[in-house]
Amino acid sequence: MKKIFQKTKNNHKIKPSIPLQDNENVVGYTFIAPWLIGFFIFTVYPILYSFYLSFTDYNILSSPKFIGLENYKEMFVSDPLYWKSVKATFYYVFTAVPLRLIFALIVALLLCRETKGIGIYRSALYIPSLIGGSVAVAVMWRRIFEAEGILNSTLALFGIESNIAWLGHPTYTIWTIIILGAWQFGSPMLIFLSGLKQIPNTYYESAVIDGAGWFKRFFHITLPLLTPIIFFNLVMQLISGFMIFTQGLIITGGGPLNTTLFYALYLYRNAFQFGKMGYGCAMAWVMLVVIGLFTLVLFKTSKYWVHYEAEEG
Amino acid sequence: MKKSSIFGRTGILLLVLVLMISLIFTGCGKESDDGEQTDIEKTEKEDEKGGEVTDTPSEEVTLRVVWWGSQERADITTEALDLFTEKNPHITFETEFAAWDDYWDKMATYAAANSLPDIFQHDYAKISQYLENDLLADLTPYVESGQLDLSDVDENAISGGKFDGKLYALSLGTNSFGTLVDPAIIEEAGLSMPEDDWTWEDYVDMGKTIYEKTGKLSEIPLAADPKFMVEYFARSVGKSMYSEDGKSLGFDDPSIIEDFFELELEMIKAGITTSPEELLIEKPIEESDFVLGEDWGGPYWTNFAVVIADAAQRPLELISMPLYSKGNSPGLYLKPSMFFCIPETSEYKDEAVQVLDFWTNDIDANKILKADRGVPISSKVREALADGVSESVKMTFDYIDELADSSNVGPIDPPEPPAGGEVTALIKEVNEEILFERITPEEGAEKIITRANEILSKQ
Repeated sequence: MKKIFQKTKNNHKIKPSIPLQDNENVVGYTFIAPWLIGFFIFTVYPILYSFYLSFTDYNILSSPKFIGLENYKEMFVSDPLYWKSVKATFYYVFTAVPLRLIFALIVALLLCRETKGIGIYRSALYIPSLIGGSVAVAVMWRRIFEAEGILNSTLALFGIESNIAWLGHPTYTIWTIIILGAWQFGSPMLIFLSGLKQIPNTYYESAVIDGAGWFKRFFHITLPLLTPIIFFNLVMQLISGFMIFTQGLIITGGGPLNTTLFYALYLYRNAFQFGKMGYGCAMAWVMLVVIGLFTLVLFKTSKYWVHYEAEEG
Repeated sequence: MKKSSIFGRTGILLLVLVLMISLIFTGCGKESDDGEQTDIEKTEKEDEKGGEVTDTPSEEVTLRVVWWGSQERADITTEALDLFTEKNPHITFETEFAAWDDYWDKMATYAAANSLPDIFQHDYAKISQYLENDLLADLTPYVESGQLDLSDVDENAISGGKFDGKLYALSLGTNSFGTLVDPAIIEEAGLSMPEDDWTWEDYVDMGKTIYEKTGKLSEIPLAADPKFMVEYFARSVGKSMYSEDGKSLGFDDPSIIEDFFELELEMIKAGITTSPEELLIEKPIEESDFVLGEDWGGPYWTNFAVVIADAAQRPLELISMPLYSKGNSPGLYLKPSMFFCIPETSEYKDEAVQVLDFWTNDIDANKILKADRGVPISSKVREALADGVSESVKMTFDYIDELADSSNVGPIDPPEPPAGGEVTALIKEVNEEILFERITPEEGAEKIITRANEILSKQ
């Protein structure tokens, strides 16, 4: 430490031999060093190590045994549950994500106008997303959809006798989770809202003068100008959709008939409950590749449907 | 501006470095709260004494004790440990507890980090992995030296924790299956209590009569963990769940599983059970059909029967398990409900053994513990407790005592192989498909045998 001190002291007296720029970088890096160290030790290293583990047989207790591509082979060839989990996850992603985006957009449109107390509405509608991923909501959701839960009792109030156990029924159960997913529209809603505010009012005014109705205005002005935002939201929601876990673990436990055995849930079970950490790591890497592919496809096709104002102007 | 130039770049750099280093060290300090700090303290002490380890009773020792279970168990466990500290003031405890699933994640991480707690709870189903990796301390020398006094304990209760003739795990209580029934409902249906040699056919017939007469439902046996039914059936015909080397199932006759599935299906089709949709949802015990008085009972683990009986708050009876009519070998076994183990890495094995001895033999401690971890293994403790415990606990004491002479009880199978968890999940999965009538019992049995052998051969 003394050395550094002397060196920098010297630098002050004599003309700096190191360019000022570099020296400032050192200070900068020193400042973010705690983060950098954390990033390399707790993020980069585990990620790389998990890649290595995906080629091993590892149960945490004993040291990993290298087995080449066996894990990947088992996944694709001989594990029927793996494909069930893939199916459940895709089903969820392709229903919950569009639903959530549509909801978010509708609510954003409603909240876009400036009325009294709009701030309160906005925060109120954002709350579900703040608490959405938590265990508490998952537990509450269970209570709603139980056989003697809130939903069935409410239906009974209106004279509809229902004793369907929503959480035990092979077809309905995943939908309770999809609805939960759609309900958590808060963050895409906020982003939509800011996007909507970016659209210049003059467009609407001239459209009104030309006699365009609400639908015309929505489909020809709002939607096209919102596509960059939709694109952003779609990518983000798709990624988070693939990672669904808590809901499956707590609300349904993967059942019934493994219809809600989501990819991440099955991964967790393999890694931690079946003592197949290597297999779990392999699953995680396949998931990364799949999410990457989907994102890539979205980016590649975006030029056909995403309109950036700058380009048009 | 001027001030900052006094500090200059060097000053800032130094400041940052100091802050950084202090941050890192505080981080470490916090982490070592669970145990490492004591290690450091100990090594320091050893250094002072020139590396000489002394076991003077005055040496302050903090033992880490970790278990799985409910808040209630946590309360009584801490109370019992406090009693120990009262008697041995130099030993204090740091405790942790978790739910079953989280517990094993936690232990695996501790094991990987070589920081297993000095005393930790273990289960028969999970122990083979820990044994294979030599993580557990051999307790035999302590028994021989009398530090761990097992003179009042029946050999049957100890043998479950013995592997290759060495004691690695100390049973905390004995457990088995029994049928917990509501005598009032049986009487209401005009039936008499089942005989000891009743069969599963009788179980289903009884359910049908009860439904007809009283409208009360029957329980699909062990619906939450159908693996135990398969094991029971397999043992009943003289086989075991897994082969000796654990590389395959212990039986290849699919009719064992098929018969169990047929039994369930018959109950479902007769409409005497709750719908499969509802059956598969986990509910709090207080809301289960049995506690609410909607059904007449079914098979349960004995320690769980206590919980049910306490929640139901009406007289229930624990009777023998129905027999599998095709077999005449003992299907049941006495299972060590759970173990305490001491890891090979523990620095305070002597003190930990002292706690285990206290746990097994101290009557006051066991009065606090209320047989929550199963029927106590020491006969002296059992005797002393018999009058003081609740009706429901007494019921299991009596039942376990009766089992000792039952012809339906045999020695326990070796602990399940590491892939056992996966096989259990497989059986549960196929069982669901049966309950929803997606596949026939024949297909289900075939599927389990093929896939389970595949899983087991790979491990």
